[in-house]
Amino acid sequence: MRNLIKKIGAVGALSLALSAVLVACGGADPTDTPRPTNTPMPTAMMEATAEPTAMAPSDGDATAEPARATSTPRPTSTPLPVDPGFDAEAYFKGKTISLMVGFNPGGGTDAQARYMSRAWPQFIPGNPRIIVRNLTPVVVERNFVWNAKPDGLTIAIEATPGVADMFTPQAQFDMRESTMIGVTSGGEGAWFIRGTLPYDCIDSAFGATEPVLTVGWSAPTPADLSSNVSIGWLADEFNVPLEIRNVSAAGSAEQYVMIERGDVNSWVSGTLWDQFPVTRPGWVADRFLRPFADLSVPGFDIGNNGEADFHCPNFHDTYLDLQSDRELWVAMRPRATIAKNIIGPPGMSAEVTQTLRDALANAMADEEFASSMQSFTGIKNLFTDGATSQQIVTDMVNGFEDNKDMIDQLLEDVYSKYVR
Amino acid sequence: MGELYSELGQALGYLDQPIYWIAVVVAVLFAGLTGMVPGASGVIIMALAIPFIVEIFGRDRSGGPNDIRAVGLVALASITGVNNTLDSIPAILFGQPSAATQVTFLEGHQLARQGRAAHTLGAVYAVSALGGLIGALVLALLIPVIKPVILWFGFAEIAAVAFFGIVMIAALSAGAMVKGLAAGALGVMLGTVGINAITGDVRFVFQQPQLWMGLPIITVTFGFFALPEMIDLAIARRPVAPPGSVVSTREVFRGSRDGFKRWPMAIRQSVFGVLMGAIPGVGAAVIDWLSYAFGIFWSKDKSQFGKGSLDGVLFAESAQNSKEAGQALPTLSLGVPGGLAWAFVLSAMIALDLAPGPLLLGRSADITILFVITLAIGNFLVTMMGIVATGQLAKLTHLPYPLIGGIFIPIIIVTGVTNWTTWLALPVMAVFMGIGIIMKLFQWPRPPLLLGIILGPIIEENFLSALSVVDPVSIGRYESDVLGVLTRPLTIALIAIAVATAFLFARSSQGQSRASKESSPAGASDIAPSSTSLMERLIQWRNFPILLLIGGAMAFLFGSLGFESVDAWFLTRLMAALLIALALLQLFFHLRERERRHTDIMDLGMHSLSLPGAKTAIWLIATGFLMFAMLTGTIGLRWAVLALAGYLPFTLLSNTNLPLSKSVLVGLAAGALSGVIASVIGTSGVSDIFAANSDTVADLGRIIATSATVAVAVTVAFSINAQGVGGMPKSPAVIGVVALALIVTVIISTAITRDGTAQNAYLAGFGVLTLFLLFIRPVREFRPAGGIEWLFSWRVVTPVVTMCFVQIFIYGMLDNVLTPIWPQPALLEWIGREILVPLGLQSA
Repeated sequence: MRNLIKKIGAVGALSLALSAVLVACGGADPTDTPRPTNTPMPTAMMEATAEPTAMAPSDGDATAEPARATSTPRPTSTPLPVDPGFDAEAYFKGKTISLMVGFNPGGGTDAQARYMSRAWPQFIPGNPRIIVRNLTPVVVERNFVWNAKPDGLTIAIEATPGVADMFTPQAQFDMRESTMIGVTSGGEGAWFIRGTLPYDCIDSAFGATEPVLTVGWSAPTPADLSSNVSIGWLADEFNVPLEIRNVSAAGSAEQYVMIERGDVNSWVSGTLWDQFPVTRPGWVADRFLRPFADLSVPGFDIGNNGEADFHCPNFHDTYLDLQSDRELWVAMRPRATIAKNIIGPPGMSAEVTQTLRDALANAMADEEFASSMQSFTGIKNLFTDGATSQQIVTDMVNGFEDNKDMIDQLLEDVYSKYVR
Repeated sequence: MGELYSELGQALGYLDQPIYWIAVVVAVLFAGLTGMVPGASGVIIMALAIPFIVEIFGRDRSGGPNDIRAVGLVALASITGVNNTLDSIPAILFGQPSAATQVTFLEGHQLARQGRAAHTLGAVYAVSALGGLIGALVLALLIPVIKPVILWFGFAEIAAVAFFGIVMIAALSAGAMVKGLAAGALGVMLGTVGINAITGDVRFVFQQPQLWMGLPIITVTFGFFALPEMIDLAIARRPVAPPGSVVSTREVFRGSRDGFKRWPMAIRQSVFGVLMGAIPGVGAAVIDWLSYAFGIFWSKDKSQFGKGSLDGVLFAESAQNSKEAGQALPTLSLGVPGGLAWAFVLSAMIALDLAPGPLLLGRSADITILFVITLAIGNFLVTMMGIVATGQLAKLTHLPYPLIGGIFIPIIIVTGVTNWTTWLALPVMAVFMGIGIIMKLFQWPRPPLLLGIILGPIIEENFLSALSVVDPVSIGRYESDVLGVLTRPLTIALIAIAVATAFLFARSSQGQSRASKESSPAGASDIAPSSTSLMERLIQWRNFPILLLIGGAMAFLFGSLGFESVDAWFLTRLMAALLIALALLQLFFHLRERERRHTDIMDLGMHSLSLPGAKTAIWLIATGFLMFAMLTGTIGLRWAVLALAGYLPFTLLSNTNLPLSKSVLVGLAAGALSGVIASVIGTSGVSDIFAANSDTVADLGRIIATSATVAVAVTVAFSINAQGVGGMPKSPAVIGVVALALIVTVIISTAITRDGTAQNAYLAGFGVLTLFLLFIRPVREFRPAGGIEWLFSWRVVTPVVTMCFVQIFIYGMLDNVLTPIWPQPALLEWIGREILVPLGLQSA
């Protein structure tokens, strides 16, 4: 009998210990899971979203050298109405924020996320811990954030506004409803050519037939529209001799080599002008590469990178006379307007949203934070506050939707006419 | 020349600074530890280390005496430079390969099964060190002149190099050429899964966006190579090494001597590794196989490979370390990362305002020289580390595999998921595990399939890209892009080498097969009755893989009908057709053969099936995996892997008497010391000293703490108990103490905080505490009271321990570093959505 009691006691103790291990070791699963997508398989090339290679893509997701100056912040809008009794410090204290990244470690977006995970918490009341979590491909990561609990503890840093992404069959998200916390960069777009070509700025190539400008294009359009769609349209409208070479090289590192090897003689890029003096010192100064067209958002000034002035005028402001062309141009270039942006799931409370928006605004206003981030990622800062960027993204999605048929047609035309 | 001496002097000047040695030693320790821990990689460490390095080493950018950016940079580079040395340990000892250790696993694990783990690892360290040194030397010699050579390698040439790799399938198919070629064709066909990089067509992804980027090599390798092996070992229920085999540090040294004796081979393979590494886009997995095949090409006796050849291991390992120097070449000279890890170095260079390219050969040449010196020093340090650790770790090969498997099988499953960050890894691993088991059972060589999966996409993407950028060639009125690609001088040379190599391999294979026929005694293999009819020969189990292959090829063929562009379907259809032809040819061989011949293929066979109790073990393991699948679908992966960790040793170790060997005090002391360092680094109080870097320090501390904890705990729980320390009784009761201490530690640490840093610091401290307890006589002599001895039996205690280790791994390495996306109860969700809702039993 005594033995039996002992055995039962031992079994009980073991069960208790095992239960304790299971509970204590594990606790709750830390994250929700992205739901497996049950949407139809994409068939058109527009529907694919490529993951960048180790290096950043050439248009908007670059990992490289610091720009020399921080651009002026865009105008800010009014804060959300919040409950004055909300204690942000108590809310975030001891919590962990998951900062999702839709790319593998090693790219520009991942680099910025890792910088922010270290430096941003001190600007958030309660100093929560931030952990970077990589989840690929980007559409899966966006779906994940879209479905996450809107408590401000799952947010993401994106490389693009996701406007074209949200029209893919796999997408469950709508960027108009996602919570924008703020945008840290964007606006720039530049087209460079080899110094040996007999052109100056783009107007010198209007109506020309030779030599043909060649650019590289990685077919599965990276997140949002590739710049090549807009330059294809531009070439068509202004009779610029162009050939797009279809290659499997989306990263800026590969693009550097392609232009050096002579596979192409020009290059459209998002954020590289300011990085050239460090990544390829002398290329601009020695005229190995020259500015050809400023494809930035309206009113953006690319400026001097320390080696030379970007002397070509803004294409939108200078050459597009028709309002419809201007609208189409902006609709075709969402990722030039908004690059790195921090978003949360839809339905976040005004209090939590405003706390995070303020924290980001304060961080970007802090000279040390902003300059260190710029130095660390090599991406020029251009801060837009959450409320303003929410409106910009909404307008952008609506503009894209209005022009979607035309853009789809354009993509098809560009592919058939210019892609080799 | 004077300038060169000045730069050399400047580089050597860094060696006078203590910060250099601290940075390099810490980096090498990190790299070494993560190399040993399954699932961890240098890339993770580098991702976390960059902010820290930029902050600490980038404060002064004046170029003056306090400017130590170069030190930070080379410390970062040394992580990837040496990370490949110790990742051989899990591949050889436990049968867990990574992307870069597939050959090491194929050959080295068989050597461990022969009881030669310590010897093999010693030899690996020797050639790795040689490889690292030779790589550094070649880097120094080539960097001033390499740029134009790298620029010669355009898309066409990279495709040709990959084609050369495909030819190596012939080398890996010795003994079963048709089967090997078919496996290679299957691999290339499977490599077409995902988005076609040129046309944008989405191929064979079953509506899963995660498959857009193709099959994940690490996850596939785990399913295809590692799991079948681990299952084979678990079925056998035996230790990896046979009883009586020598495991000691002395044996490691002997192995090192053996490795150093092969210096001519090491030089040849290392130079090959540097050259392959210098071609951007040719990754570690490709170099692994290419260097193996390259080594086989030069070997006189090719029959030894695939069955546990030390040379085979060393071919790959010599090249793995030197390829890092090769990958440094385009990174430093062109600013093009030679591999993923070098992309981090490039990022750090840019963040530190250090431009890659010509400047590194001019006014910043001291940094390049420091790179070279540090790679050499790092390789030496990690080799020493490996030699010290291996003498003890190799003793784990004397433990019954269910114990090891109870930890490693769940870890490999979790790592497969986290590497791909998707639940889809589970079905993919399961499918490839099935394919791997079938191929092992029916003696189809697996390496060609893996090589096909790796190389297929490289050939396709680069060839199609080349078509787009190369000028077409005209012959009369006929103009062709393809000719434009194929008539480039370097492409012609590479293709010619590939064809000549294929020819030589085919001849050598024929000769080998003839010799093997002549030497094999009649009737040595299992023989089918000679009177069997054609129909009987058709309906045989050995034809099963052939039918599967034909079915798979047909499925891909039909699937490709939906692709309009020839670029999208060409490779798939070509491979499907080739596969069907080869499968039919193999079937023809089977039908023609009246006797079933045993063939020696270059792969590990299924050793366990003939052992006593195998059938029961198979059922138990199958039931375990079924349970795992059900639990994953219902309560989630986290709990399912824990259950599997406990289930395997509980069911498979029922009547085990553990073999005992000598003490592992040295291992313990080293582990305990790591634990102390880890706990100090991991403690938040220390992190706070680096106020601005507290999170990074905490992250790094967490990794080292977890790595050390796992190392300490494994050593404590298994090795000590198996051997006894200072007269300690050889009783499972000690493991009971360890297990209970673990439980208590985890509960306390979790109760105090949910923060991983603190928890891991406690866990690391636990290692030290346990060591202390073991030297207290009452603890050593503790005997459970009558009636509850069973509570301290192996069967009860080991599952608790394995579960704890798996949980520590999950919590420490993954939750807090690259958090996995845990599959939720998808099965329940699916049942609700697909069955209950349509039946009206649940609302939508």
